[in-house]
Amino acid sequence: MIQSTTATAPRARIESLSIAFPNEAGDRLIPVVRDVSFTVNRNEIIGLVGESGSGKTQTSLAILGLTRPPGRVTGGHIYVGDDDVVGMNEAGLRKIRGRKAAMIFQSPRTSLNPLMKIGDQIARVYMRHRGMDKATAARESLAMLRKVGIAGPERVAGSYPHQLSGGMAQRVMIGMMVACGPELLIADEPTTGLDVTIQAQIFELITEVQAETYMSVLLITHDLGVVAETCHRVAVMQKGRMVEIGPVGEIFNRPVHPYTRRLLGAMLRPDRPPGDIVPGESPSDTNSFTVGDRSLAAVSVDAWKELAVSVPEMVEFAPGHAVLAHPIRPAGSKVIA
Amino acid sequence: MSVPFLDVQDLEQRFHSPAGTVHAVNGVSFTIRPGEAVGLVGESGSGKSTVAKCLVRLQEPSGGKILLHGKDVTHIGDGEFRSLRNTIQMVFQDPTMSLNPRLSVLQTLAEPLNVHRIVERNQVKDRVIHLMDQVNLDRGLINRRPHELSGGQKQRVGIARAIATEPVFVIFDEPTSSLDMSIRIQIITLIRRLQAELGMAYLFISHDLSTVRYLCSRVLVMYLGQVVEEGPVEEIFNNPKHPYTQALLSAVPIPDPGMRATRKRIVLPGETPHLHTPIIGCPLADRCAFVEPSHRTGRIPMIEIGPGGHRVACLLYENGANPSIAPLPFHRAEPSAAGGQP
Repeated sequence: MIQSTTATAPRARIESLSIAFPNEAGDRLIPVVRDVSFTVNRNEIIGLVGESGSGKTQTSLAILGLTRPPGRVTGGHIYVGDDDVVGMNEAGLRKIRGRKAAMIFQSPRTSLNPLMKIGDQIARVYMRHRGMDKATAARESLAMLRKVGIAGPERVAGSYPHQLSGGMAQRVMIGMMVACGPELLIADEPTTGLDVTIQAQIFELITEVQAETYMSVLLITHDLGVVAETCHRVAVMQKGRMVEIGPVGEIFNRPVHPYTRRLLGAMLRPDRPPGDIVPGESPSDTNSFTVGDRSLAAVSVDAWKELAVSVPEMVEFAPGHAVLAHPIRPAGSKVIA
Repeated sequence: MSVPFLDVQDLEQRFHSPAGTVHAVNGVSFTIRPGEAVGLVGESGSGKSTVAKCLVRLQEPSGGKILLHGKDVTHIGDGEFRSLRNTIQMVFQDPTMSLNPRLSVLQTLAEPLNVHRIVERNQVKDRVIHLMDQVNLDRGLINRRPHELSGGQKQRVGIARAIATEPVFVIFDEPTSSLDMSIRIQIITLIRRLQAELGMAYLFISHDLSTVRYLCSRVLVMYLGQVVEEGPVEEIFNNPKHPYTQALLSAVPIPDPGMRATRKRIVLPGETPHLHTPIIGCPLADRCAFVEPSHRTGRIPMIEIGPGGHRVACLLYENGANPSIAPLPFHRAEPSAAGGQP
């Protein structure tokens, strides 16, 4: 198991983050992220998984101060290095973005300037973030394109974004973000819409660059196969809450939270005949366990209303492996499991 | 073994565009037998969706033949084809786009029952309820319109509509790709159950190889408009022969961290080329590590390579040769191995 260097400060520390959007009438705030806390350690790839509406993308956008109004952070802190991004002004955010934390999005083409040649776009990053002169920046841009596995970097440098395939555009995007030399790279479903062979190449590239630069990567995905092959740790979100977090091996082999179990139970494996796979017939909504002398129940967020009576907390189940759970009260009082 | 009811011979589809002629499908042949679950896999540009559209006449093929029960239906008129709707049905990728937003579930499902006179008028509603039960759709949703349904519910309606005419053959075109993962598995298990109950044949088009392994007994692998390998699903997954199939299977992520260290990945250089030039010889030639000059000429035949009709369009296997050209992308499954231990 890959251990992150816990001796040093994490790259990002998210503390009790809550984000809400007003409803259509504008008279009420709908929470989309609720009381989420986790850290992104140095030199690690951490996966953030969940289904649509789980809050994984909103969480990641907030790290760069990109929560789109009228949505807003309603509570908590996001420390990138030593600075709290929550409430930071644009000037402050500009110092964070690029150099400290950079993001690649689902559709690389919409993140690239359609009117500017690829080479010029990358060169601009070098000039702005690394203070290079034009000639050096142009030379470094070609080197970067080569580094992200683009054959014929001169030709690609002279192309416009629409002339690139999806896989190439995502390589360019990764190259551009890595050019900033960020300490933290946030990748939001970076292979959506790409073919599986291209997807494999992109994740190989991210893994390679990560190992080379020691940057940290926060990878947002719904694909547990990608998590198993790429990430060191994984955090699972359901309906705006983080329900479980831990080393990838722990979470896959000993999932505790019912929602994590449901996700893992719903997995089909490409490397197993179907007879060996029993897709989860929706496992129980609660899972009781003990830690030390405490009796606890992890409850699926869907079932909270009916079952839960107390405020859940992240409980450490094993070293580095925490799960959102309710304390079970002593016999006689209302039991939730 | 039963006689195929669908026989596709040398299917070709070309599109003309300002940039030139696109050769989307180039000589695709396959058969489907009654009750058979066939997977059609390939990446973008492989032509798999174009094949499906030709089969249901959303497109007219530019060459080749489609025989249905021995009858040539390649170029029959729309009216005549409509009478085949109770033979062939299709479930689309995006349930939102394929359902009429103004029709309730009842109206949507009643339509094919009425048009094809599946049941008497006074029994239509009962049959609709029966269909809803078959696809596990809550009866309480019968008067809802598509915008009042979730993605998974809409796809259940799409499937119920497809089976309403009791077709012998259903084409599923990436039916789960727009759905969240826990919903996806529900739809997949539903399709598997319906196939067992109704005995229909289907062509399941997908880029998700895990799903194909789960749902299909035979699989066709397409690359650049051609079938490059076909055979029994377990044979293809355990013993892939075509260099493209090997690379494709090796690229699929395995949701098991214990496998990470030992996983072997085959990377094809470059990307899938555009289809603006007609392909002569092997479509993979430019990206293949084993290419020889002789592979770049003529039409590559399908060569029988293994049990159950395992065939491959690769000259490496010519004249009974069976070279071991690539490491097995997956480890052979140990039946009792539960998860990987790190």
